[in-house]
Amino acid sequence: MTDRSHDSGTPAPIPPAPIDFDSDRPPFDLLTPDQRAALADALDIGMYAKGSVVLGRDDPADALFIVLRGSVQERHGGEVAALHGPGDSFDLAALYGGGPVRSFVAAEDSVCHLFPRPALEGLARENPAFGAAVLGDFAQRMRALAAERTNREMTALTMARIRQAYLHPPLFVAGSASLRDAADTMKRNKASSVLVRDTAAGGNGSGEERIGILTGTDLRDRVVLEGRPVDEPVGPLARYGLLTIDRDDLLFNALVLMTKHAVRRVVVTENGAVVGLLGQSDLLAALSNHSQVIGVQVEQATSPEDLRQASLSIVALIRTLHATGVKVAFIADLVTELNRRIFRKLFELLAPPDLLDNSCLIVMGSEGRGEQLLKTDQDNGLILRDGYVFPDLPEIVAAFARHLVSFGYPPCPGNIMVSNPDWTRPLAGYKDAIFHWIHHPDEAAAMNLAIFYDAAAVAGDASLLDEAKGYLLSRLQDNQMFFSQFARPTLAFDTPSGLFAALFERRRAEPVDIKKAGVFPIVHGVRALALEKHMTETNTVARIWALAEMGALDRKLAGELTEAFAILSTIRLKARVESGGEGTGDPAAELAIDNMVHPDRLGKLDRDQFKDCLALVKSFKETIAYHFRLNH
Amino acid sequence: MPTPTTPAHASTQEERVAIHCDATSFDATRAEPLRIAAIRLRGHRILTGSALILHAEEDGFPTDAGARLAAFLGDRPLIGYFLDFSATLAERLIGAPLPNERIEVSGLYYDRKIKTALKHAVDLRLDRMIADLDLPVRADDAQGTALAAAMAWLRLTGRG
Repeated sequence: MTDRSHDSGTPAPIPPAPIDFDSDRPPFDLLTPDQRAALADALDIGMYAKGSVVLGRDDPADALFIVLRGSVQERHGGEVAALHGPGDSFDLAALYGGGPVRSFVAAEDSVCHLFPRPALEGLARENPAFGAAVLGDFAQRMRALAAERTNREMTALTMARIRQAYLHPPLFVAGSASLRDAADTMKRNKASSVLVRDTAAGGNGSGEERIGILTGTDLRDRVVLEGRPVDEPVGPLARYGLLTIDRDDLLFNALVLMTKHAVRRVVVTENGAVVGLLGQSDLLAALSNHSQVIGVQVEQATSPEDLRQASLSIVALIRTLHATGVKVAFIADLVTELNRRIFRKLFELLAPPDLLDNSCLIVMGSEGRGEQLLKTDQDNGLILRDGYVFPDLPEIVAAFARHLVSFGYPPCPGNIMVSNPDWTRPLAGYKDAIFHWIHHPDEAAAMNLAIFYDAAAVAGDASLLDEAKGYLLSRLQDNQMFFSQFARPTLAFDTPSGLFAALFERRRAEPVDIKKAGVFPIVHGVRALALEKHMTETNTVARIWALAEMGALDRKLAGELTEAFAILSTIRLKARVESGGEGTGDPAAELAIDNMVHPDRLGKLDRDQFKDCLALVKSFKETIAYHFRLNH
Repeated sequence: MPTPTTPAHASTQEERVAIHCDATSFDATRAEPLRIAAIRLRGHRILTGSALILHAEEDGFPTDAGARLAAFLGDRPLIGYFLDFSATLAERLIGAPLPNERIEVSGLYYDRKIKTALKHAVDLRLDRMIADLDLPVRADDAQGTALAAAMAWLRLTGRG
């Protein structure tokens, strides 16, 4: 701005003051004059000298910033990702969580209008067109609400990034160093492992560098047990193919990684370079309830009773994770992993090696899809290699099912369990059954096909399941009738919507079966689409994105479905955890299966989300009905 | 461990209040206040959305005006242009002296200009200062003047 006239002699029409907010600009032009006035009254002003932080990575995004003057850099990591000039606004993504960690820095002296979040959301509610334009599509809105919830419930645990945990500095030795050198380095640095930088001197001889790890346990095994000389170089003995995780990743993901691979440390990288080691014990120090401990308990179990103890602590773990605000997708990952390890370990304890080599233990339904949040019915089966006979099989499978019941996994009401001979049979028997399910479809056959399509291998020879599934996909014909039949259950249960005023009114609030009205239609509709495309994914979210990837599902819808699925799962878990009565003392019974959601007992946030999700499910059902021609 | 639910600026950065008073005269002993505007500052932010604007009615200010103003100011340092004038009128309205620290932006401005403007007297008129500091504001009423003072303070202290 240059010189300003300050002769006040001649009255002239008053031009807008330079600080006035220009509400003629979209999307603010959607507001009524009254709403524009309300907006102008609600705005704050921020002034930022060049180089000062407008919104730091840890600052709460409590307002929408609209640049009036100057420009603001958006930075991801160290990089400038965007430059926001006059009229630009930021940052909805930060406001609504998700997306990369970012910060905003004034690139020159800048002035911004700040649109406080409550005012923004108030106007968005009052003026839906404006709300849609500002808050964007459904998925974004869901994230908005989820972020609010997260703020409320989030603890240090879920927010904590690896950066915040103690990392052991990386300790490198050259590949040419001897075992003794490695041991000496560990001793001097009080470390339990060293990283080995090996330049692959042998073989092809070129200087290809690789990084491996050598632990104290390795030293013991190599030197004491195998009797290798201590002057042997570590290069060929180190283990390569390290599990790595980025320093900015969530601590929780490190936990999932460790649990999944049953390791006690992961290598932490930053911009691809190794910056340290994250140890199990350091991670445990950060977590109040130790899912890793359960994993260790499972691995070290020597009897079904040990496993039972581990299994019962899963319920406590779920409660803790849920109470600390951990996202349901994380809980599902972890619980699925733990459940499968318990199943595998139990089967390994009961079955002799011979049987393990010639069979494949499978889990089906939600356990197969990896969407288990709590212990639900057993849905498992055993595929035997053709021609393999094991006389004591009935006793073993009966014991397996019995132990699982004692662990708190109730028997399957449909008797889809290894103890049922229909689900413990040779591969050829499975193929016969699949043939029957496809060519003589009735209600039971369609259900069997659906849950078998979700199957995942847990123990034994996974190739048996692969072959059965391959057979299943090869038998599918492009038969419209078959797929219509298969998809039809998507519409089996009513999804309430429309009369929400009545539905959510306190006095008349009927409980809604969230599984039937919300979760099942998504799971089954997506499953039908996936089956039609001969997909091999089993997880619902993975199927959704695979479908979007091949163009079979609109990307926007895919995003919305993913969000809605996560939210419905959260509400469902919440309803169950919270309905679990105090008192009975039996942890398994405390989390009894209750799919009823009482809208009048939901908080306002949950109720809004629930409403939006059900509306989305309803429209997804219409999409499925149209796609599979279910209305004809 | 950071606590993500606590806004960083709320706890760590103290607040200030920019204040200005429009009156019937520039002589504080005789002037009757017409309008008082007070705007809080926090960090880089000027909280215009929650400013306090008090108007005189035909028979003076509403009875609770003094109490509201006192509560709004609290013990926050005051920022203003020609601040002593506004503060005197505010004290009269509140009915008690204001012990708050006072920051006179024209004084800060003078300190900055005197380093370079050796030959000339420093022009301390408000609109000259606004133009010179390149502030996007027009100080044509109590609210505009309080806002101008707030902006000038941010700029002169190197924050904005």
